[in-house]
Amino acid sequence: MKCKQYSVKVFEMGIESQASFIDFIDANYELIKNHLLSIHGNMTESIKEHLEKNSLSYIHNTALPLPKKAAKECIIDATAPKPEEEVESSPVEEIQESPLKVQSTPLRSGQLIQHNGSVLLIDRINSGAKVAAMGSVVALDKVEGDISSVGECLIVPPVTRGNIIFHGKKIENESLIYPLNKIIYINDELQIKPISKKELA
Amino acid sequence: MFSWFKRKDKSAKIAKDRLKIAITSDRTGTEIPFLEDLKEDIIKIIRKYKDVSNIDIRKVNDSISIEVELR
Amino acid sequence: MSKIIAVISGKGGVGKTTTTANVGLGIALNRKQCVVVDFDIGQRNLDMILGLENRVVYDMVQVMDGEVTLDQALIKSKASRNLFFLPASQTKDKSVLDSEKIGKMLQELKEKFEYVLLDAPAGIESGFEHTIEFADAALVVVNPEVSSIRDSDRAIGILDSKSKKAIAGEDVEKFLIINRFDADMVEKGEMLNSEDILDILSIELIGIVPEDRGVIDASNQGQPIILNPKAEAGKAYTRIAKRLTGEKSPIVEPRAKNSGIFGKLKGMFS
Repeated sequence: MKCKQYSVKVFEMGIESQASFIDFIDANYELIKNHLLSIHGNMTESIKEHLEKNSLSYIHNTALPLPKKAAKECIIDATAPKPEEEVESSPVEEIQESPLKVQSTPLRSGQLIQHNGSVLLIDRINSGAKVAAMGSVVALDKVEGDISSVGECLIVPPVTRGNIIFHGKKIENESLIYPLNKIIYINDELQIKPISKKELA
Repeated sequence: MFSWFKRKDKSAKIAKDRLKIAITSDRTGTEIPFLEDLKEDIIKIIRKYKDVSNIDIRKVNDSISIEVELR
Repeated sequence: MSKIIAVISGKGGVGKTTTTANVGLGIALNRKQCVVVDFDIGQRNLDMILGLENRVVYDMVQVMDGEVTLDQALIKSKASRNLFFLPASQTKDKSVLDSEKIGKMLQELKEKFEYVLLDAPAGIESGFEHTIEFADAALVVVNPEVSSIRDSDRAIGILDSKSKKAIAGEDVEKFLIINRFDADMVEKGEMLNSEDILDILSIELIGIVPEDRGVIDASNQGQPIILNPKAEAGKAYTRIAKRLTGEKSPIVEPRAKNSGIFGKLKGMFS
């Protein structure tokens, strides 16, 4: 019998409601498309269709054997993400499993950064470029492309053209009023606070 | 002043003449007419007997060379 | 040391072929050996801009396939004995492009010429990828217009990731040419200025070529506009060629016809 053994990345998620689940899939497609989705909850026909339409692989209500290292717990709830918890539960693992990716040259149209950890963009990100990160994203120069993060925070200057998506929610560009904006969830509430470059260091 | 007008007229006419010659040679020169259709027809015929993976048709001097790669 | 310079843009119709022809001729007029190669398979047009279309007998693909030698296919320019030209093939079959064969041919060209200019096809498909594969440097031609700039950005990104030099970790020199610059529109704020474009593309500016009706007249006649000493576009190409061959030449930003108070008043009545 022919066999093959290999590892695959798993993204575990729970269904709260059909609508929020589908929204989450759409908003975070770039992040999850190369993962096997382990879905728990009430799987409706619409959800099945949607997953099939997007060619996403999934297993349903199946317990998976945990790897020897405890799986990085990333509690991403479609309705109320709690990134602060995530950081507290495994700070050491976070450094080991998700190194910081630094992009020091302009990110050009058509280029995509897909990273399991946090991303630091030192130069600009041009229209047509995308960043999808499991961790935080810090952008220090002009943002004209799309950034999606499900990490602790998202830090960007004012954005005229690009799309900023934090934990599945699109941030209105009008609300990014500070020279450097820190987008973060505090007590389940999305907040945008000013941050100075000194604070970043 | 009249020579300026004449020159303008001339350049468009020069372009037209050049294009006529260039396009005619494009259409008849070293090209094989109906190349794409020819390829399709040949593939159809051969597929009746064997599966085809690639086909190359070139003009070599006065003949056509056809190379068919079978699967 | 010979250089292979790819003339790229991403978007079509912005002036790659015109630029290749004029900059190539400019280099030759500076007494350097230069060859311009039409890499747009199936869409031969560098020959028409140079006025050499009736001299084309053999093409680049026939050279790569070993049917004819490089010397048999190369065409000497009427305007300068230092400028030669290698035509594109007119067959649609883009699969004829083979990296090994291209590499060999370019190596042979480098041995004969100091400057090898490659006129890339529009787009970012395989034809384009083959053109940039062996590039030492690139001239990026852009129009001050959003889709041209975005497409050029894309093309630069691919150059920086897929060229042999980039893969080896070396830097491919990139020079920006802003073509069809309309100073009046820029002054009125209706067109992006050079600063805006440089900010987005982040590469070195090597020249600004103004919008010039003479360019069409020139291609009608098959006489590249650099040969017209009165044409502004021609002068710009001359400066670009100088800079490319190492001479210092200031970047001239074209001035609006109606600049200054009196100019603006004049403009209101015209």
